[in-house]
Amino acid sequence: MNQGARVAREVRRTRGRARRERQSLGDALYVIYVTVLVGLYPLAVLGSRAAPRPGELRSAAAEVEPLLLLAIAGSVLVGRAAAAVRGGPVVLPPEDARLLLTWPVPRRSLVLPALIAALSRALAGALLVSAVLVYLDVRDLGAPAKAVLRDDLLLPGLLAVVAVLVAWLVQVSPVLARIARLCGALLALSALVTLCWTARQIALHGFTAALGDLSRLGPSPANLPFSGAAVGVASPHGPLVAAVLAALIAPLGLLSVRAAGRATPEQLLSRSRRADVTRTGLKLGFTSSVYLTRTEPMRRARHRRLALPQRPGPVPALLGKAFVQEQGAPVLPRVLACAAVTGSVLAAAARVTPGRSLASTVVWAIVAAIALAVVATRFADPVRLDVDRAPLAAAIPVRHALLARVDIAVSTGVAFAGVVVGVLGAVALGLVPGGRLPELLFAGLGLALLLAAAGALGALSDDPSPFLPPWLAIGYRTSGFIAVTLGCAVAAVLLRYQSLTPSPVQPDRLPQAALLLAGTALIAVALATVRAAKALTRGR
Amino acid sequence: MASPPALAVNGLCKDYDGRRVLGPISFKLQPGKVLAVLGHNGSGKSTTLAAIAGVLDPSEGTVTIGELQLVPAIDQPEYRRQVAYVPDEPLLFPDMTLRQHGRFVAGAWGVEGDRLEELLERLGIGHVIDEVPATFSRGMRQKAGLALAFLRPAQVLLIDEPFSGLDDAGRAAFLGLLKQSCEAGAAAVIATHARARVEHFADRALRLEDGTVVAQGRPRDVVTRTDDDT
Repeated sequence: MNQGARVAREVRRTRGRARRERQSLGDALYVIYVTVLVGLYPLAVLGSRAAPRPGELRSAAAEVEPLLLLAIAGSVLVGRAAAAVRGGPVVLPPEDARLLLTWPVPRRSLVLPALIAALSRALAGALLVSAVLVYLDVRDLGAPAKAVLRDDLLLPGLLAVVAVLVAWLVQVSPVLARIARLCGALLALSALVTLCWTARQIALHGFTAALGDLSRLGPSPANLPFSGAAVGVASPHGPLVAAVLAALIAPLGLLSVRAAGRATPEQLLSRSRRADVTRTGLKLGFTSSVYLTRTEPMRRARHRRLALPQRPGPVPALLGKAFVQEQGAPVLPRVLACAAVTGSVLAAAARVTPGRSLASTVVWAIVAAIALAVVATRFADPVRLDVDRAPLAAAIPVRHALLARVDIAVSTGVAFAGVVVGVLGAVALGLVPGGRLPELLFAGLGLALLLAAAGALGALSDDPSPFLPPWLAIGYRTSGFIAVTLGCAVAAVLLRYQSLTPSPVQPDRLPQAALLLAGTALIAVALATVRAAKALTRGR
Repeated sequence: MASPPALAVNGLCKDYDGRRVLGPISFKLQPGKVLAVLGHNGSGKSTTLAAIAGVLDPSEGTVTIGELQLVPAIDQPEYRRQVAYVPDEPLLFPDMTLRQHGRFVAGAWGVEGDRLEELLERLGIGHVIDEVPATFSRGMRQKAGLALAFLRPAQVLLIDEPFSGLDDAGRAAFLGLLKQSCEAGAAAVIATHARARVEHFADRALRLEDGTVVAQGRPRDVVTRTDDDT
């Protein structure tokens, strides 16, 4: 092996070892916690919906399945290639890209491991897709034919490998990049047209007829590669598609290896930098939102300034300060997001059949909690900014607890505006009866308090002490999420069990649920206030 | 007969999105000579060095080191072997000790890594050879980056802002090491703001403004003209 290639491999190994040594048990547990949370909730929701429900709609949906799967397969291939115009399967870690590309290390020894890693990731994804397809076929067909299983197991893997190799060639070839960009635009356009057409058919003829029309668009479902679940037998074209994909792999692989040295350092560096920015953005925006851990302030410049209150006194001044801090993040999108989530949760709650199992109630509550938790992180700006600039905030001559309380109150006010819009929207659309408006508004106040307090708890929870045991550190980091989940779960369990009472007149438990929600919210507020005050005092 | 230049840059240009940000730049540098590249922030000094190092693809023009011409679309480890490039923000792996850095750099360039300790000692940070750079100050990172550059038996040194973050002793040590490398036959291109020091270490100077060369010649002349302009 070339000396440079050996050095590159040793650098990778050394860095990998250092990374593993650095990772504490708490970090590993946190990753497991996040993975389980991300994996289990959607699976639990899918599981509850997975039981086959025979009927017209189900049959129509089954007819569309092969076409849909084929469209997805085509989209994966074209979409992956189009994405490679700016991103790419080969993305070097930032330090490797910046350092090793200037060393006399063969570029191939840097690119090929990254390509193999991309192929492994794609194959892992394909394995998951295969598992879902096999599950669906076993569910629908009982004992599917071997040919059906062969299609399920082979095609996703082959498609994944071809998609990555094509994407890599697009990444290195300007001509292919132009073609991929064009194909991507055509794909997006056709997706839009299909979506509009389907929406119109649904509006005119209903779901069943629209799905029937859609299935008649392409060739007969029995002739499509993924037709097993719909028609009970494997398509005759399945082996042909598999053979074509398999035959493509060898030349594409050869071309990919030959192209390994052709990617220029500038191109590899720009992909690495872009991927790093995307990764950081996702880390800050998505993961931290879902689990209510601290998000870095990504603030826009303020276009308008709120006038500070004219009345003298510490509370008006603190209110003015908190409102100005709230204004840093865009207010209207937050209010609308809050309204949308509240409305959706209310609409879902109104349609959930009461009296089902405790497990489904808890899952329902947790799904609602995730949606609300994502919104809640956006209502913690005053507390977060005060804690970030503790020396400044703590210098204001008031008790630190008052500072935190006012911050949370202002955030609650903004969140409440969103909740009210959501509740009014749900009532106006007839999703919930208008007569319940007072109780719903009261419950909305509890919810707004809970959102603001949970947001603050999340914002304060990124830095657990190294002396905390790992399980407690996880609890600390996710205390905001726990607060929202607890509130939603308590309210949901109480609401859902109202029909279990044998009395023909169902007792109205909405007020109790609203009270419980408010109670949980007040506990969260108290906790958030104490912790924010302590953080301010400590930071000072 | 004059010896062939260590570095020859001919009509080097760099475009971004159809907009020219650098060039054309042309110069030749003989072995053992130092060229100082001067200019305000954003004038194109770092882009010039990165393009010569092969980190950026030149839009036009050629760069030749000895007999080797840079061709971005072709992998040229031999070209990179002739170059020791230190960007303005020193590049180090945050999770590897300096000793490990030295071992890998020496391995990649096929030389003995024992000299790193001596180089670090001369720059005044010998005591951190077994530490990872994650906790280093700006100056320490700069010194570590310079030591690793001088460890390479390169024909061309490309150093961007070598004085930033360095203390007086560090500056003196850097200039000593630069002189030693040049005496051994290396050519150096140094991008710097330190006009006052240019005369002490550079044989020639080149001044950039908005990506184009506005003055080139003896350091004293270029600096004087710069002072007149400003």
